[in-house]
Amino acid sequence: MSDDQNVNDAAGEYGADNLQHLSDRDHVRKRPGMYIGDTFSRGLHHLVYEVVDNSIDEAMAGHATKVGVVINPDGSVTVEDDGRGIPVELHEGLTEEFDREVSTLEGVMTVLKFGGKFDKGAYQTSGGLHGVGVTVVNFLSQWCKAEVHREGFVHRQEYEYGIATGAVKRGEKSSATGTKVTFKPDGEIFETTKYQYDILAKRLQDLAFLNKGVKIEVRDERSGQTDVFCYEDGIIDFVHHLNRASDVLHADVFYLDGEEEVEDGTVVGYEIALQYTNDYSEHLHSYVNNIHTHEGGTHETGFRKSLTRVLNTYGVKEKIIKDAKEAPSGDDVREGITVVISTRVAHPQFEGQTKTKLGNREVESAIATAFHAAFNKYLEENPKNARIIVNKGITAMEAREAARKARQLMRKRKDVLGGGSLPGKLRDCISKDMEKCELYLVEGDSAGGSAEGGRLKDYQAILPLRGKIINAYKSRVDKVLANEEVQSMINAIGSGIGDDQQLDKLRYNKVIIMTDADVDGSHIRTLLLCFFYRQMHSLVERGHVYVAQPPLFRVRRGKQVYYVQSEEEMKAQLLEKGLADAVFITEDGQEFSGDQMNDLCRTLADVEDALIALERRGINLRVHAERLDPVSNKLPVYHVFEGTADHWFVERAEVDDFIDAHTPDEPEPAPESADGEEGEQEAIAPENSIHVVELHEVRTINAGLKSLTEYGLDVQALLPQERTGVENPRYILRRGESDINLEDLRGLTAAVRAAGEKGLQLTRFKGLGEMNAEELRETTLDPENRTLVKVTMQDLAAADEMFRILMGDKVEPRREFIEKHALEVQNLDV
Amino acid sequence: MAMLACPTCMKKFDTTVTEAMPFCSSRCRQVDLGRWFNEEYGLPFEPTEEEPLLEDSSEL
Repeated sequence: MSDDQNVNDAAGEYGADNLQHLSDRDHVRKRPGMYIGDTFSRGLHHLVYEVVDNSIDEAMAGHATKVGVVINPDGSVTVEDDGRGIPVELHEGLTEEFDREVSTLEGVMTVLKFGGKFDKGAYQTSGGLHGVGVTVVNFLSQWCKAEVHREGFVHRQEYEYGIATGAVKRGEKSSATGTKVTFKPDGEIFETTKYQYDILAKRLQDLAFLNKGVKIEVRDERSGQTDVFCYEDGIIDFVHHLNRASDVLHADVFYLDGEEEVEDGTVVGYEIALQYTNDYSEHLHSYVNNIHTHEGGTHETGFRKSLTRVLNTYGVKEKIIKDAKEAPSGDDVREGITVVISTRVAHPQFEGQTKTKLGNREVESAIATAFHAAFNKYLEENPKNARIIVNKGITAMEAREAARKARQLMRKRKDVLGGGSLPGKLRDCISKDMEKCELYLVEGDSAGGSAEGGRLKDYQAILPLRGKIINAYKSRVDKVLANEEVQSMINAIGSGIGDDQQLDKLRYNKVIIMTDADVDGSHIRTLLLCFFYRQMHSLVERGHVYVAQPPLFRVRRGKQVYYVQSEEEMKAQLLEKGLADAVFITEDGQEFSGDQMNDLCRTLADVEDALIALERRGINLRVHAERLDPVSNKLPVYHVFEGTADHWFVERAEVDDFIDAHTPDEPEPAPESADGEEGEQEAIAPENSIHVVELHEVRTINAGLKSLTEYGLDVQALLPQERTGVENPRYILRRGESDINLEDLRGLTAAVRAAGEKGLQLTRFKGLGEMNAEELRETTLDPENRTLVKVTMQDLAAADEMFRILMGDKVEPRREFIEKHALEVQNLDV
Repeated sequence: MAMLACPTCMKKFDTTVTEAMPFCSSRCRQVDLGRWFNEEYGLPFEPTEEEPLLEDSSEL
């Protein structure tokens, strides 16, 4: 080979004295891939790491504080440390072998596998053991220079193609210590000899993370680019660095370090740092003796098994995982994890395609045992973080399960589209003209039957749906949409769900939800709307979803039949009818009729609702009437508690005056709100503190009272009176010939309505099932007569908050919400 | 930029950026879908004459 010729020319006689070592050199140069992986960019950069590893070893042994790496303008690289410096004295063995004076430095630079020999035991687990050391770097360099500051002087030796060009020469005096190696990779060996700053900087930064406290400076003389890496917290800083762009689930980084003696008497050292983020991927970086083990190996296996076991055991014990048989898998618990595992192994066995897979069995159990104990302790001591981490795994498991089910379902759907069968319960329409077709989702089987009989078969399809009663978490009985129902619905509609929504596959232009007008019906409707909003978003977005408004009442008047949609409408109609010809006569002979009577009844209807609300608070009207302010003719709106005493006020200003007068000058510090996640703690009012309750409904009552004064009536008119010895009734409602006697005004409206009901036959539909096919067609199916409400995105976005509370796991807020919004829930006619 | 709270993870996200409305991510939407399939979303059951609440609800 031509380069061998060059070598001999350049090195002359100096290096030709030992055939064995020459053949080592030749072997390395002939098969560089065996030593440094390849002769492309990766192998080229590997040369630097080999040299740097020696310096890092020196630093980790406590002899050096910093390592410098410089890419020189000519493309050579200098690696420098302030360690002890490679020994330069004569090496007896080599001197004898070569039969001339040979220093240790020359041995390190030119004798393969010599590095470990000169200082055995110093670096028990150095990275250089995997690597091949600086010797190979020298062998693969066009030229190389070593400069050692040691024992008061600078010592230098130079090499060409791996062969020393002369003996080690002692130079000028130097008080410093350290080693500096500069080499120029051989262009004959490498496909490229151009170093890339970013690649080097990245690896050097990793090394700085892995070797805490070691300062690594890197500089590119070609561009002036420079970086200094130094991390006092080592791989904890590494984890922070890796997570810098992610949202972490807990602020702290779990950290473990230690070592364990294994069977062969050597020691396995380990360091593990981890933190969870809300990412979906796993970031696991493992190292053995500073070498990145891309292919993993026993250290990763030990960690992974242990992590899954610890988290699931803890989760089951703390009842975060409800069923041990359905615990998250290893992949699940590693979702969002960022972990760095750094191990030190005396005799690492590397396997795998790129020799970056650790094979030592003993490492697996050493790491598994140590991590199990330490991480379990961490979980016990940080229950809040533990819960977050376990829940992250559960969510991952749910997502995996969901994805699997969704895939399954989609496969089924493909079968369907391939000419298979639509859901068995679907009564499809005849037409295939999507623009004209409608799908009615009908609650209950009996209603489904009526709807099937009453539909316009050409364009209307019916899919009956039933809620399913289940025992929910925390012994709650719930009604849910059964899995099969959800699937039939998805199949019938045809436009897909989630990531796979294809509106061009939609089979109906209108999807119409038709449920009973009771609470149960509104719940089913709520669930369906929530499902559409979340999983068939584009369907709602394009305005394909509607809510049918079936009537609540059927009214017969002789042979005439009509339907009324809601309670309010029915009441209003009855009132109107009852008011015709009605006269209201008071004790003192006043008579009201016509418009006056109308106004009076409407005022009373308003007041009645407010009175019911007041009484629901436990406040009796008779008692409250005694608190009436005679000047303004108003009932008090504000109930002010001061310690055990209470006060009533009509106006807010009075309340404010009272508070001012009763508040100490020094304001008490507000009790700090606890940052508990549940937010369940109520601030306990200190004694003598003032607490104000505002009775909103009293405002309505006061407004009513004002109107009543126009008729000469006051609050007493609303209360039954003791009227012994009086024969005339207090109030009379007269319609034609018939008189109805009333004890107080509150009964008037109901009496008028009852009068209005005369001659009518009212049927209140308890459910859609009570309507026969014709009735259903007439009222709810026939496009000529029906009322449909289009569901808009704004409606649903606003309602999703409610879905969340209603369907949530938290029992308390849910119960509160339902109680508070009982009326709204019933009327969720979005 | 409109912010919305993701129904699954509760995090606020930018609705103009997400590809999984009304969720922050496809993953969160999948989780929600899984809950539907597992019949985890329910509303309080109101017993009626037709569907009375069974006395021993464990038999349900």
